Amino acid sequence: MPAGWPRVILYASLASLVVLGLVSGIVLFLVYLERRVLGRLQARIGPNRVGPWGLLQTTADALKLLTKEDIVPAEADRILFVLAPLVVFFGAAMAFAVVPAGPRLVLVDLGVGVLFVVGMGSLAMLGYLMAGWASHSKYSLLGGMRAVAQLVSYELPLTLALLGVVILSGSLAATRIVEVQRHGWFILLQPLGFFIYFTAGLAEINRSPFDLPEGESELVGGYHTEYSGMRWALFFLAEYAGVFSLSALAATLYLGGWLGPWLPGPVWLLLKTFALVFAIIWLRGTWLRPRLDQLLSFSWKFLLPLSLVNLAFTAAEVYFLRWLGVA
Amino acid sequence: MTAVFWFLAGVTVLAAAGVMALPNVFHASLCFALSFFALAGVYLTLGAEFLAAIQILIYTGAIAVIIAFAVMLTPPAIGHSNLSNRQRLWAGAVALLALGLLAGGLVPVRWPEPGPLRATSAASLGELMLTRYVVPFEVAGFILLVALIAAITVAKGALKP
Repeated sequence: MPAGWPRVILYASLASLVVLGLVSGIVLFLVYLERRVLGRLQARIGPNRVGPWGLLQTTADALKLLTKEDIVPAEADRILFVLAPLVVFFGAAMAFAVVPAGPRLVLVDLGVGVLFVVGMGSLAMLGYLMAGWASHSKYSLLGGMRAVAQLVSYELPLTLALLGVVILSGSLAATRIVEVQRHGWFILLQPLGFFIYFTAGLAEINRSPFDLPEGESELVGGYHTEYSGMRWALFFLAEYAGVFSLSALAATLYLGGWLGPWLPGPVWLLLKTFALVFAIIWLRGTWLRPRLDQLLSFSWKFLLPLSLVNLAFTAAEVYFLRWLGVA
Repeated sequence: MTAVFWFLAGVTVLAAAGVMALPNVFHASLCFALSFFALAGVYLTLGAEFLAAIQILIYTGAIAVIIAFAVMLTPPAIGHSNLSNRQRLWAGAVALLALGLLAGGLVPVRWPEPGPLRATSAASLGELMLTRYVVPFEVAGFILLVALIAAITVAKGALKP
């Protein structure tokens, strides 16, 4: 169908632009929010000089990063070094495509949306490996290895926790999962699942308390030690895009997504998402960073068995709901 | 869609060739991942949404990552593989034999005419797996469990002095 091609290409580029714009805008605000909230948590004020309430501080920082000199280490594997941040960012940004802000307000209503998100998350792993390997630095290498060991371990409980939602809603599509929650949010039926998803999700996006891959005190900066300027900013962008998409997905899958009275759907989604973003920042301000072995055994010996229990619990729940005649 | 299909098919094949031809083992393992990823795209153009998602999840996200991870654990001296040795004659003979066997099996098959593609949903796939194909499904699960236990046993044994 060659006739439809210009439209397909136009649609694809528009969708990509929307995602890119959304991600950049959201990240600029998130970084500001994090610095302000962390400031309050640490009994200081935080940025308040550039623009009203310091709102333009992160924009100024982004401009500074854009104009910085582009440095590639002499021994680095140049092609992979350049590609790595792009792969990480791609993986983080793609998750935005399937989060619905309303019954029809979604970029791609994939029938397998939930699986798609998990898959894109694992794509970022390759980016971390590439960055760690290509930098030709031991700190980067160790950071990359840590990132992947962690991601591989936490992907399992994450996926198993999501299965609970899939069983209850009988669908893998994000829009359908939200529609089903009209009768009650899944966090009420899946409190364990929500806990596992959120914890494993934090590990998946390398957020504190699971930020070992970039533990400043041990690894300088982890896999992005050798990065600077715009390339470093891409890693940064990807991390905050991850924070937002984790929260948006948790809101969609467990907190009823766009559903809510009086206010329009997208506003509800944003409110729920930002409540979770706030919780993530709060955790960063108050939690300790565990050791690597503690981190891994927490996943394999606690979170994974717990997610299996949750699965059995969900199956029992479905039978109970059927018996009640609700589902 | 055909142009997209051919583009992705080309990337799949080229990346697969890269796995064999690149001297750097880490580059080869990344080509492996790219090949899997492009193959997921091919599935998508053929209407197999679920298969594409699973392909990314299992092959790109798990298998390729584990291989790249293992390569990173090897000392840098083994980072470059030796692409040529003195076994060319034998390798060529085995390759020809494999080609002959595959061609002998594939050429006589009368392929059905490509009709309109039907999208398969995850629900219908799951239904089939738990009804018609329940025995192969359970057997596969059992084999994986055995492999899992075996891997743990091997790893535990290696830890003992």
